[in-house]
Amino acid sequence: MPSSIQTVKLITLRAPTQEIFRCGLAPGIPPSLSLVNLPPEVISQILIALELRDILSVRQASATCRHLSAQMKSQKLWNRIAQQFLNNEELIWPSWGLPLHAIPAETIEDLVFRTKRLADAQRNVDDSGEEEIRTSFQGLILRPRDSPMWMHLIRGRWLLLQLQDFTLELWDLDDKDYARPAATCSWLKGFVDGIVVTESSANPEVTISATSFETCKFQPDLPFKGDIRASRPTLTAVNAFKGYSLLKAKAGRLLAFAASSGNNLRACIVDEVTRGGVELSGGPSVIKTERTLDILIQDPIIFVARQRHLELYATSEMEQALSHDNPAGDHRSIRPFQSVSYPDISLINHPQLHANVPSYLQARRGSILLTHFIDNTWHAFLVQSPPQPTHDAPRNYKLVNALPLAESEGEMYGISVGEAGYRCATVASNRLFINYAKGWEEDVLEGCHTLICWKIPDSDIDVPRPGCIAFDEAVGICVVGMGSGRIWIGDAVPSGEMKKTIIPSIPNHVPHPDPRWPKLPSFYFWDKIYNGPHPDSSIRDEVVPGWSTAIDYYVPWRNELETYGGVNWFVENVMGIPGPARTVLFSTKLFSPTYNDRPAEFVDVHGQMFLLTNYPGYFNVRRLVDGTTLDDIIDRLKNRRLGHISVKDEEWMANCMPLDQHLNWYASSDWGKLNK
Amino acid sequence: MSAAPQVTLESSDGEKFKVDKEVAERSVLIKNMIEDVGESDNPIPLPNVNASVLKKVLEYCEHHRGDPLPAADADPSNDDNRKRATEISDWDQKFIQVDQEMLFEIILAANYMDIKPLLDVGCKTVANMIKGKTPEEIRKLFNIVNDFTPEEEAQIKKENEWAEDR
Repeated sequence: MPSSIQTVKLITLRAPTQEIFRCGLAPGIPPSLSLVNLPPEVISQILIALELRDILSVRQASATCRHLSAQMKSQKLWNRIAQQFLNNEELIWPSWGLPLHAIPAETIEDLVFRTKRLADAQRNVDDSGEEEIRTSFQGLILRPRDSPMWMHLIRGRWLLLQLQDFTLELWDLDDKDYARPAATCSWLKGFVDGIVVTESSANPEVTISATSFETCKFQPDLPFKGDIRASRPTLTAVNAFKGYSLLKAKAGRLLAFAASSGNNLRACIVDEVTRGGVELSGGPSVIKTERTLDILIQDPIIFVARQRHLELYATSEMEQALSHDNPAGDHRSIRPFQSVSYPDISLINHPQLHANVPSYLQARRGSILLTHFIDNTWHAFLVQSPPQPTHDAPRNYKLVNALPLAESEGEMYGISVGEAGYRCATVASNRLFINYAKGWEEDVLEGCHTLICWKIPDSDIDVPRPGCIAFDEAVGICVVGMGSGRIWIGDAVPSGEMKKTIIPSIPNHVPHPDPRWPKLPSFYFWDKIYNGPHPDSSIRDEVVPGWSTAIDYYVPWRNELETYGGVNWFVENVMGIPGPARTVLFSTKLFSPTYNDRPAEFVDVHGQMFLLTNYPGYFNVRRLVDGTTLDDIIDRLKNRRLGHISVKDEEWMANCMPLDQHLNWYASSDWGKLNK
Repeated sequence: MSAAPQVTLESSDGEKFKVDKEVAERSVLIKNMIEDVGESDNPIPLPNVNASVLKKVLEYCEHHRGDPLPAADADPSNDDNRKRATEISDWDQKFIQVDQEMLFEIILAANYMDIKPLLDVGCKTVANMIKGKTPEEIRKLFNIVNDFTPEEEAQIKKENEWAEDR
């Protein structure tokens, strides 16, 4: 055996400790060992053993020591700390927060503290027993190019929104100037009706569907919240195809839709690469007008929530059908192995369920939860699964409960459901509230607590647009798109100096003339109280103040026979009357921001006139007295000199009926009999 | 049969310690060295550890000579390990009751010599010292001083403001 000494000397030795770590020691005190002398891995081992509170103290103690504060920023440390929270479920961790190795340390740190502060704020409300209302305000995007119609928040930082002319814009909320969008995309021909964000890598994959039956996938390159890495986000579609609408879910390459252009109210699952697909045909009890509310793809079960049933399909059956599918041909249809009925008939027949109100399907801890919004309240259906769900053991799912969630005042626009409870955004009396409620089950239902509240100035002329609230439950960022085009950005995380501050008054927003605007007249041109003629009445087809027959000009897809969301679609699939139906008179105040001016239109179905009114989230149908013609309507509107129709104008309305009544009327009418 | 094999360790200040191989091999560093170079009568130099610290470390190894070796990939974030985080056995607790400088010397030595259980005990002890203390107390305790300019400090203070009143 050779002598060992030389070999041993080859082992790399650390430099003398005083040299490396001298910076942390007090002058005048003889160099001695301390926390600052320890190597990074040891420091992180010590910190891991601490509670977050103590980590905060160490961080604060070391903030002014270069060496130690650098240690406090290590990726490994924050990965471990975040992992701890994920394991212990101490905090709500953002759904987009995974995988951890893809998130920079500063972002994890930022997130841990954000979520912690949010939880603290929430706990303070709990402890005090009364509602402490915070006013928290981060910023305001004064002027997107046009008023937003839809928005979605990605990674708590990136706001994807769609304007009236279908343009997509991407805004960076960390860039406090809010001067211009980071990216735009202008080739969509319809309104966004579904989005799925897949966090599989550092770069999120965003898939959206539109009412024009277009589906496209973006990889926009978006850094996380707080990440200062330079990036040039893009909105260039990397994959796009036509034929489907109402994107609901995504699992790998499979996209689930609640409508396809060939067969409107049918749920289907499509492979985004091969375009092969299966139709989720529903059980024998599915009726023609039954909407698909949500789809959840899991293994071994695919859950499909329709208006009256929760259907369960075997994932294996779908895979089998997909593997044999002919991409160009028809979709094979598969049948559910079980169909669970909801208990409350009055709920499932509610007209609001017929319209495009959000419903969410979730599976957690052995139960399936379906939440939807009816009569200004969120209702939840709980369906319990067998202990180990397999497709070999069907018919074991049973409905255990149907309960209203805690009520809160005002109109609710957004909800976010987590295991610990849920949060929602509501609007009432010029204020926007972010509320949260603990728990799901009846015994722990505690009612809504207000977490933050903003004043929304001049809400008599400017209110949030339905569908224009984006909320990140974990980081507490809330964005509200107003009818005026202003976009409010709020932060539910209180910072030290922000206790009950008053929102600074914001100058009235005077829109700049934009050559694009006359194309799509909007409320921008109305004064606060408007009773005169349509200011833009020089347009060719203006017939009465505020009304126009230029429907195709304003909403090109509206009268298309095959278009989802078009009037013909609505009349045929929701009202259940065979078409064709055609909109003959349209309110140019379609996008009016105020509560009184609802989007409204007169529809001609085989000579019978209807008035459709679109409330936030649902439709009202009014049948006009038999024999009423378009000229009668125009005459009446002109003589009244009114910009809108009064709801109480009963003398010429034969019937003002919610949809279920309407369906009864239709069944007993001549058309109904004829159709049988 | 001969007596238990022994090895000689040499501290940074030249002091030699003759210990049972089994005891010395609580240190993964020494174990690997012996495996690499084979048995030898030459002392194994430990240039980062002085005699008083090495003595203390060997005392620990001697006491724990029969313990099962810890799993290499113990995940500190998993629940069981986390629960153990604050638990230190009575003997270890007594053993680690030393002045702060010695505590950190032991931690550094355990880290260098790769003695996981000892490193654990040391880290937990430091963590226990930190628990419940205010930032100011922590600064005093570990003699952490400010090496920032007043401007930098003001900026830092602002960033940490929300945590101040906790």
